[in-house]
Parts: sequence; C-alpha cells; structure tokens
Amino acid sequence: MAGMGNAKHLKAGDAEPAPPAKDVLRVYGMEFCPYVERLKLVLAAKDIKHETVNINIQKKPDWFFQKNPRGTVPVIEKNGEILYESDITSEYVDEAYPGRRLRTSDPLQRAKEKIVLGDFMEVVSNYYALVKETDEGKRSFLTAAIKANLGKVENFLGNTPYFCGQRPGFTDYMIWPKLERILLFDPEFIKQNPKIESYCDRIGDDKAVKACRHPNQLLLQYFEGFKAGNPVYDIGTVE
Amino acid sequence: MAAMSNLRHLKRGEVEPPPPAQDVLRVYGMKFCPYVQRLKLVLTAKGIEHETVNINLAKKPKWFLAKNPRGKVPVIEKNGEILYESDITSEYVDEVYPGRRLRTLDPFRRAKEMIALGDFTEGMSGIYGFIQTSNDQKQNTHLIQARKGFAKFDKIMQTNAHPYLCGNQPGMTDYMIWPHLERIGATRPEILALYPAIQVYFGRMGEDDAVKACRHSDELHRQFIDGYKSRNWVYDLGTVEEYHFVSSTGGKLKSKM
Repeated sequence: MAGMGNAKHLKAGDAEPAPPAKDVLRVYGMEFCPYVERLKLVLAAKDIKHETVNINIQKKPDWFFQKNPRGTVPVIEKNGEILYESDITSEYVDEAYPGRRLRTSDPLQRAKEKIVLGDFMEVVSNYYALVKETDEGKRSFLTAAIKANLGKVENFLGNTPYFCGQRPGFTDYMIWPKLERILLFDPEFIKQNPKIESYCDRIGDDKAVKACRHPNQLLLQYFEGFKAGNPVYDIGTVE
Repeated sequence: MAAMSNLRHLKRGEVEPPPPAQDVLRVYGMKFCPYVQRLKLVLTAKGIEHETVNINLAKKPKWFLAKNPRGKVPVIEKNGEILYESDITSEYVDEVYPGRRLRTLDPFRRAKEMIALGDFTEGMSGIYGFIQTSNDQKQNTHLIQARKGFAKFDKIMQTNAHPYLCGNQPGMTDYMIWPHLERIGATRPEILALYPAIQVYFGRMGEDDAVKACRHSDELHRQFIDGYKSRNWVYDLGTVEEYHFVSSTGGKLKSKM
C-alpha cells in the first residue's frame, strides 16, 4: 500500500538522492520489509508526514552505508540527523512528534508487553528458520518451539482486545508486521490460537494497519522470491 | 563484591525459597552474570533495597523455570509479580523507584545511546566467543567481530562531548555496558588498550560508586571464566554465604532439603 512507499528501490550505482528539505522527515525503507513496516505503522497511526526513499537491500548503494554502517532499513533522516533500527526509530518518533502517545505509560504493563514481544520474536526467528529447514528432526523441534511461544502470546492476549489494551499501541505495531506474514504464509499456526486469530481480524480494521497493508497476492509474490533467494522489490505499483 | 551477593547458588532438587515478604523486591541472580550485574548496578546507583536468591544456571531448579520459562537471570519478583530480562527489569526499577532517573530523558540522545549500545554489543558477542573458546580458528573469527564492534564504539566515545555515554554522570546505558567492559578488562586488557577512548572511559567508570560496589576482582573473574572454558561451571567462588529464610509461619526454614 501507499503507506509503505511505491518508489523504485535504489541500488548500487544509482545516484544518492538530495537530502530531505529542512524539517522534512525522510524514511529509507524497502516496500516489503516488516521492520520498516513497524515504523510506518507508528508514523501512520500518528499522522506523521514524511517522505520515503526505497533501497534495494540486495544491492545496496555505497552512499546508503554512509548513513547506516549496518546497512539495514529503516533509517530516518531529518536536518542532517540520522537514526536507525526499527524499535529505536519507532520509539523516537512516538516521543518526538505530537499526537496519541503509543507507548504504554504504566511501567509494569509496558514491561510485560516487552516480555511478550520477546516471546513473539522467538516465534519469528524459529519460523524463518523452519522455512529453510529440511531436516525432519529439526523441523519438529522448531515447530514445537513456535507452538509453545505462540501459546504464551495467546495467554497474554487474554481478554484485552489489543496487546496494549483497549486500542492498538506501540507493542501492537511492533508485532503486527511479522504476525501478518505468518498469518498469510502459514495460517495453521494462527488457527490453533483463537485469541490471536480474532486479534488478527480486529487489528485489520485499524487505520494504520490498512494504510500499510499490501494485498495478499503481492506479499505472497514477494515472499516466493525471498524464499528462492531472489527477492524482487519493484513489484506492484512502482513510482 | 557484596552487591552481587555471595549467597550460595541454589540448584535442582533444592527446595524453593518462600516468596519474598510483602513489598520486598527480590532479585534472582548469579554472582558472575554480567546481565544480573546490569540490574544490580541500577539498584545500587539508586539505593534500592532488595534481597537476592542466586541460581545455579548449570542445574536450574524446576521452580525457577516456573518463574521464568526462559530460564535466565536476572528475574525480579515483588508481591507476586515477576519480570525478567536485564534491560526490561532495569528500566522498570529505574522508573518505579525514587532517586536519580538513570534513563536519558531526551529522545534523540537516548536513541543515539541505544545505537551505541548496539555497536558495543556487536563487539561483545565477539569477545565472549573469544574468551570462552579454546579453538584458535574460532578465536580469530570472534576477535575480528569484536574489533569491528569496538572500533565503532571507540569512534562514538572519541566524539562524545561528555565524560559518560549518558552525560555528566553514568546513566542507564553506561550501566548496561559496564559489566562487559569489566570482564574484558579482567581477562583481555590488551584488547581494551587498542581503543584509547574506550580505555579512558573504562578508567572513569571504575571510579563510580555503584561500579565499585558490584565489581569482582580480576582474579575472581578469571577463575569463573576458566570454569566456563572447561564447561565445569563453579558459581560458589570466593566468599559463600548461606540463606536464612523465614517461612510465612514465622519459623526458620532450612535452605537445603
């Protein structure tokens, strides 16, 4: 969707774009990156105006490493200042820009959300290992670990509609991009957890989620390329 | 040092301690764990009273896994609530207890600190690999990674306008970093010496009261790490103290079955 930016992905050899104009927030991203999507969800939820430059992350331009020596997206740039990492940039814009504060204010509740986010990220790491694993024994082990950690996520949701309580908040937006992908690529894992399943329906109505969501077909197309080791970034509408 | 607690490390088969008394903060730790030390530094810097239960991480009691299914320290427990992870617990106690706020308030500066912490952590994963393996080839790979991370961190410290990463006094990020620096200083000081800005920072942090309260001697660190290398972990090194739990009925409980 337009929220993720349709600009062509710049690659090695492409000229560096001019810096953003004064006070303009620029996001360096990749249209299908779930970590960029975290930041994009926060920006959309808070109506933070920004421009986007997309990067071909398989063939990164040299000038991109000058901005982030780690070479990862998302990166934000404003008035010559640069930050990177999805959690760091998301937390920064949530605090530095006006509008609804997405970060949970109660310290105990916030700590518990971070713990469940960690449990969910275990699911993600095991899931992406499973996708590439051919050994049956290891697949079995990874599948069991995924189910155990999804169980913790299921228990956390309990009776509250969102991870952050009555409205989607910071932790929801940190979780959603990868949850969206597991839901699409391996719905069985989600179907085994009724609260997570109904959460996925519910959060699909969120304004920010809708703004950043790709049509399933496009995401599947991207994922096929990714699995084969040949991701193609400029698919769908390209500007 | 005493702030890391000299209490004996409880292992599998030993009876679970009674829960902490009302409003008492308990830390489940391990005397030589750098991640526990992060939390201990924050608690010490803020003067937060707490009790400690040490855990034998090679033979974890089942009751400990019931508290933290990840099986790691530090864990905090108070009035039936449990939290874990060094960064999560440290941030939590910093916020809910009075005293100097260690977390940097300015969002941009804090974001920069988080990035610096990430660069330092990249170096650290190399260094722990380096310290803990005897395999020469692996050692070299680890050292290359360590040097990449430290080079970035050294560059940050060179241009840092303040004596500490967090400003004019050590703050949260300084305390997240210190335990790892202490261990490099104890085991591989020649690596620290390659990075002049890190070396200066190391000396400066060594003067901090909380750092001093939690610091082990170089010798004790080396002794512990030797056990790591031979996969023969010994936690009860140096002074060892016994527990004196009081049961909820008021009588004294033996801490061993």
